[in-house]
Amino acid sequence: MKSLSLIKENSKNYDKLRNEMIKEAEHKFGKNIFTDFQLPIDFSLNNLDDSIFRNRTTQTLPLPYSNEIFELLKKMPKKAINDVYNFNNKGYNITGVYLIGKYDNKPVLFAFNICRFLAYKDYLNFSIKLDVCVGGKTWLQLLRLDSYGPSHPNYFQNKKVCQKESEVQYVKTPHLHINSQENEILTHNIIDYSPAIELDFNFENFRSDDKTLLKKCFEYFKKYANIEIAINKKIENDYHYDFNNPLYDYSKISQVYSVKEFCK
Amino acid sequence: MKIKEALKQLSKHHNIVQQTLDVYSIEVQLNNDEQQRIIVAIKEIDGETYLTDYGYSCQYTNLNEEEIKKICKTFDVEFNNYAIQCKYEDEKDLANIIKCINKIL
Repeated sequence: MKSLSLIKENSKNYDKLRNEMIKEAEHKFGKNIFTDFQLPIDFSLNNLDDSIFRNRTTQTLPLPYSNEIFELLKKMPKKAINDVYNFNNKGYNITGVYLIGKYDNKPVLFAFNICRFLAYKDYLNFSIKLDVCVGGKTWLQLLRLDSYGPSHPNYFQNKKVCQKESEVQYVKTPHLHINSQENEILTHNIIDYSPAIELDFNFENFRSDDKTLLKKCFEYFKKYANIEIAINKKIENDYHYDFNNPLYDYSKISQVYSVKEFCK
Repeated sequence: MKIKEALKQLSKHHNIVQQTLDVYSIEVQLNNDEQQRIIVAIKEIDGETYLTDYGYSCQYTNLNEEEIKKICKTFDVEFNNYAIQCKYEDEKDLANIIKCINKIL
């Protein structure tokens, strides 16, 4: 069945599907998976390593968070809490940093990374991603900005599912994938597809070696997801990006301190 | 072949999307599966037109580097720092790179 037909079918059974998916997720990840997005009280930064940035994570089960929680997670101010991980993997340079948000005076953990392809001297192929840690251990992808791709089909018009193939429009690059409740439910059974929105700029008028491609996307993403980090000008070069966070106290790098303290 | 000429040839049978001023792409299906698609970029390097997967195949395969290189050789495709790429002369080069990607993924 074609993608649009599947989405239309899912749209007809929206409530039923949502309930089924919630039940399945609760069965797999625990009863509180949709409400428990704050870190356990005994969580320590010592438990963090670069595995979330190093390994490609695939979400095995759709997690249809309510739009209220999705918005809350998206809008929550997020600050960097550790020195960055910067490494090359399979031809990509990956720069990742953990972020902390605060809800009801308890910490919420996020993983942010920029992944950029190195083979060519250009800035065309990169992605910027934000995941949130739910239930103390499960990572959920919230947002992913892709700089490069085909004419990505958009099966929604004015927040409604298109009725005919001829109504489907194509999203230019770069585009932003948003794992909201609606998107998780309507596209859960479509392999290799998640809806994306077009940004208010595209790359057609830039050369691929223009560094501003990445900077524009980084600034857009940061504002969209309320992230407080900046590209560190001192170490910026062709192949490595790092961040500095004016709110982060570098004198504490070697100290072990708990997230609980951060949120006091 | 210059990119202008390559685009002219490719556009006879494919829908070309402009990514940036100097990079174009086409979307191809893998294994005749409508839901498995990949983007092949068309870009000019040193006056020649190249087709490349921009590292996609290597990122999503379970094969190791040596195995990937071996497959590339079979299909007369280059391995460049995890990018699968080949010089474009005619339609058979596109067919080769698609076959190669199919085998890697």
